[in-house]
Amino acid sequence: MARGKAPKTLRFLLVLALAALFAHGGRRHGRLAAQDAGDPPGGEQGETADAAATQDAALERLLSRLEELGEEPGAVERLLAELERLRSRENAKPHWSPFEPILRPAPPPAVDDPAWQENPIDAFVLARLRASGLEPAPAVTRRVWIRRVTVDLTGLPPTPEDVDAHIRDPRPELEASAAVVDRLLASPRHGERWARHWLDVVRYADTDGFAIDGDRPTLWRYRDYVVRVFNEDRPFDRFVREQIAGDEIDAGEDGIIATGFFRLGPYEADNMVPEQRRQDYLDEITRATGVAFLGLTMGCARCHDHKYDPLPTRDYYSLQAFLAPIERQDRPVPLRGEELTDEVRDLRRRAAAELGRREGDLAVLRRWLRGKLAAARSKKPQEITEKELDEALKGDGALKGKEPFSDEEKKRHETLRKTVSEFSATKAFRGSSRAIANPPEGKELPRTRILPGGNLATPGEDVEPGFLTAVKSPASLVARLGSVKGKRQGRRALLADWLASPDNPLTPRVFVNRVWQYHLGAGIVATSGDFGVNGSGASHPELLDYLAGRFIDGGWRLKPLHRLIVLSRTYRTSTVHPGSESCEKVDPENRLLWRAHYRRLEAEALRDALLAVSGRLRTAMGGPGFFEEIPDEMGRNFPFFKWLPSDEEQRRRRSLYIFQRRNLVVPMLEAFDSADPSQSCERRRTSVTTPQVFHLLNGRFAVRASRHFAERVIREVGSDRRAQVERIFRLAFARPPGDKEMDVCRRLLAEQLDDRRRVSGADRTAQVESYVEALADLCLVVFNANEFLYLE
Amino acid sequence: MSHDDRPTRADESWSGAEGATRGRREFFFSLGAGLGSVALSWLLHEDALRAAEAGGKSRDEADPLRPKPPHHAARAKSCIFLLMEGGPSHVDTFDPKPKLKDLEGKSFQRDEALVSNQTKGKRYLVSSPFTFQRHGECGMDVSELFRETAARVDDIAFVRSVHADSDNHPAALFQLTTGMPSQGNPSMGAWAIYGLGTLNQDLPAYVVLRDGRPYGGTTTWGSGYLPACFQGTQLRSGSRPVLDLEPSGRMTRGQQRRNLDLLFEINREHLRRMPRHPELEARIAAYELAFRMQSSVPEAAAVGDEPERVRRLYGIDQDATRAFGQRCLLARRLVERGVRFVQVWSGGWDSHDNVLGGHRSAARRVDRPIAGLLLDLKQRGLLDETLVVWGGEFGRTPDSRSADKKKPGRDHNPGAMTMWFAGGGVQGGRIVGATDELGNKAAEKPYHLRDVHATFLHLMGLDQEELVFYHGGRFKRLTDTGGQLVREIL
Repeated sequence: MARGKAPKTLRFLLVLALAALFAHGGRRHGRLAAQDAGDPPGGEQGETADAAATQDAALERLLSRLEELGEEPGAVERLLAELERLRSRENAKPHWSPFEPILRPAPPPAVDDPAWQENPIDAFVLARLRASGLEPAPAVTRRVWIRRVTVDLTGLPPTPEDVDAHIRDPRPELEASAAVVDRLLASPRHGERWARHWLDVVRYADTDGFAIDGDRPTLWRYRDYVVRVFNEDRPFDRFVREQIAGDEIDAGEDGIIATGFFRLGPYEADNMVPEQRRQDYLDEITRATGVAFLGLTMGCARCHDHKYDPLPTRDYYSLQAFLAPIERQDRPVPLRGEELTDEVRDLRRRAAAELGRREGDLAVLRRWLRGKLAAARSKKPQEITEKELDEALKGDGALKGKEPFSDEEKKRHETLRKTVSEFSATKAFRGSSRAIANPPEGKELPRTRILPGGNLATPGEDVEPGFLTAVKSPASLVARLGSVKGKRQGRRALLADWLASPDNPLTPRVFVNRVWQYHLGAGIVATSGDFGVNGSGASHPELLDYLAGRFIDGGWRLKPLHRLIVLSRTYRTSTVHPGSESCEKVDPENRLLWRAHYRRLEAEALRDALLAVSGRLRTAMGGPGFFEEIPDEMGRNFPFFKWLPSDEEQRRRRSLYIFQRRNLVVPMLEAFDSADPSQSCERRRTSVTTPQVFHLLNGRFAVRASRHFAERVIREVGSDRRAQVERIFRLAFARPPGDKEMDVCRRLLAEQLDDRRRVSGADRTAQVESYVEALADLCLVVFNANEFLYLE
Repeated sequence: MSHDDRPTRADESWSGAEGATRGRREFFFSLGAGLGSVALSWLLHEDALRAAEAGGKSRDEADPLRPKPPHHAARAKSCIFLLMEGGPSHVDTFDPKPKLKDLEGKSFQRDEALVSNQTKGKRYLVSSPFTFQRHGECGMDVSELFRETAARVDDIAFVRSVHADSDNHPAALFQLTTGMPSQGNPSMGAWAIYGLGTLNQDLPAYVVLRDGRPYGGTTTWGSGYLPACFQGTQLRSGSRPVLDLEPSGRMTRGQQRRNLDLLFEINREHLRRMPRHPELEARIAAYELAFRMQSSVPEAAAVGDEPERVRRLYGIDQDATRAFGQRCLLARRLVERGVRFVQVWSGGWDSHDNVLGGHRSAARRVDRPIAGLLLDLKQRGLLDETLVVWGGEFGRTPDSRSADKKKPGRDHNPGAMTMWFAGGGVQGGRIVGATDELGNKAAEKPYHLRDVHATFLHLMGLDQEELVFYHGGRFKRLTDTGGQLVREIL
């Protein structure tokens, strides 16, 4: 090919690419895609001319860059080779649409390798690997497997005792492993771990965000409800129904708490345009419903028909019409048995005492003010009514302007009255729940209108509740649509029935895919929050359908699904492949799972691991969130809120129970890529940054944990250096140190001890202190090691 | 090295991006003209490919902050954003409205739907209590509030017709800094370093000079859906500018060095068993960088080392201007050392009840330091490669809810504001666009904040439509679905 000259086909390709790139670049560019696809150009002449000019200019720019590249020998050839390679890979992929009904495919026929015969998952995975000429990496040892599975199912590292017991278990591999899995699934830690995943998806936070970032003092009940659901293994279809319509279906008190789903997102309470505030809220919950249950990004369809998925704008507003009547409301739900933990009782008692104290102060002040008023009006104090006193304090009583109170007295009264009525600690224990309700009879039912461009100022046609048109919905459900038209009750119950229907292809596929992602490090559909065309497509569509079908047929229960996955040979695959270089050529992104994905502990799992390994973790469950310490430099007072760390007993609890403030995420968690609660988080990222280093190496939390770790080790194995190093490795890495590691660690201990003793002097206490500190140095190093942060 | 192994601009080392890349490919193939996608991904990644070809080590390639070539020749290497929190009033600073004098005190009713409760109802027109004068060769009108900055007008391009969408502080601040009036989106600085990387690996690439946190938390300098390595680092005043930069009290540098040496040995041993994982190597590198930052950050932050003459230039010798002066001087020291983006905050502009007093004190704090910064940058030859942007989250209304003439107040007005730009290839002495005769709405050549963002990226050498990140089912960018360049200032 001639250098510096773009071939004609490439020219065409570039136009297409450009059109696609600009699909979200505004009207004029969007039109290009349509024209290329053969649609006649619409709109005004001027706009088309404008589009053409833009297209020409952009094309010129592209071509000049292509020519530039052409100056480099072989550049264009390489580009074309890349085109060809990708095209053949794409062509080899199975066709798949998430909107089609779920089939129940049988696993491929048994394979020759006995290790891959036990579990149907493996047959699907191995068949795809073999079809691409790949062999999977070897299986990991029991030691590596148990660390992996313990973190995946409980979010905590295994204890050395658990590890040893499993390694010594004489039973065959599968039996021994199954025993471990059953133990882990039965642990209450399991529900906590999986609740965290779900809270990521539903953008949970304990405050509103925006300016005021107001507290949601009882929202923790939703969080605890989720923990309960996963621990009980409540069927997932039930879980969906409760969150969407727990108040409309017969779901009891949990049903009310579950509708907190619609109160989780950011909320601009002080938006001063009420119509806009309402519409923003509806858009937020519509998007949240779309992504959490359907795995679809509905946001685009708010303004225009989705460009790539079969999601017309009408569908978006039809979905919104199910939700349009919702009123945000706190509803009474008495605290239930398991919510009334000793901790909650204690906190409640203390809050009540504090409230009593404040009420007492107010009563004393009022008595004094009443006396003053009585004297001024020549009455007896008991003749002054409460109402009279209040009016006088407001300055609009009978003797306006002649109240005997100073400004200061009035101000003090107002402040005290406020601290009583707004005492948020008591609200946290009040038997109410952040929930929703339908509007009462007599109130006008809100209309849902299509808003072209998402613009509230130019509403279009009215729409009624309706299901996604891309999915074939069961006739029985479609028939019910008419019955909710114009009704305030029952809309969400119908939506819930549709979402949780065994015939809805999206809900089960999306959820099963999420479970797969959390265990394997990447979903079968890698973009787990986007099942649409823009998403990644499925690497193993038959496997996804097999799992989804099995999930539905098994009563939507999650624990059997976990069991199936973590007991597979696929899950046991090592991260290290002897022939990785050649495998990468065929499948660079490892979508076919020729090795395991390398995974880092999430922010919360890391913090929990520091607590667990240092022997400090307190497993008390539930209740109002606690406040983690934040660095002193950040201060305590923020616009509209204070941050007062809870006492240490509270701060030893799992990260799940941290009070999640939208406007102040605990810095250490933020640095390790915790989920931004303002948007649904489909998957945690793992960026590498220096603030992470500062938190883990110098931060108070990690340094204190390393000290506790050292004290624990001394407590458990005494002063033998070898035994200490051994214990540290077993606790942190689930393995003993190698000979070389033992040597370098002991050398560090000796050097740090010398150095610290030189500084601290001969004083006996200081000498002991130096001894502990030197060991804490080693513990800190271990906390910072890659092996501690990553799952092999 | 084979073609397959080369990293691409969006296909970075964080594992979360794997899915994104995959998603994009499928997305383009779905257009029905399969090959189009590849031409596109080539386009997007061409520069990164070249950089990788020129470089060598896989660890450096995996570093998301490695220097990346711009999309086109950059005019500015760095940007200093002077963020005036609270919403400065344009009609009292850079946009005189003599007509208001004639209509002083005239009342009217504002009742349209979808208008903020704050500005609804009976209103009174209020003229500016400040006097304006023409300055410089360009003859720019500047009020007495910016007497010293006025001496630099020929270096400044003023855009009087900027408008935005939200009239609430946090949402408007989010839009000013991230393009969207909601939380969870990457800020301007995050986009810049995502696109360009950093010029100095020993300092944070993106620095925020503010004590405490604004409404809405760190959204205004966050990385949103981009990986956390692109977020701004807050440098506080005082002895400990970066959180946990130094080892805790119980440990000396020497002891820490020993710990780090052991850590490297343990990590190297681990890496030997776990080859081909660039992320693990990147973590090892991050520890070395962190150790270097323990010296480089305090060095850069040592504003006290500057000669007295320079400190006076920034007003550090006076109480009113000390805090902001120190921030501006620090901003200069940072861009001098290769920091890409510095966000410098000053507040106090939210004058609902008293524009006279409120704006006087807010402007007093910043006028001298801003003039000093512009002059200092120019004298050092840094102004050409440093873009300075001045603006707040919205302008203010020409009318007040109160008829009190002594203390005229002004409310939020996203419909009109003045922003200005200096250095970094901007044509100084330009006055672009105009508001209506009362200053209520942008009227001539209106520019949305998106356009400001597009222009910012352009000056930094980035193309707003090429700088994309796959998230939530689509390619997102700073300017969302629009954005045109403010050509008049280029």
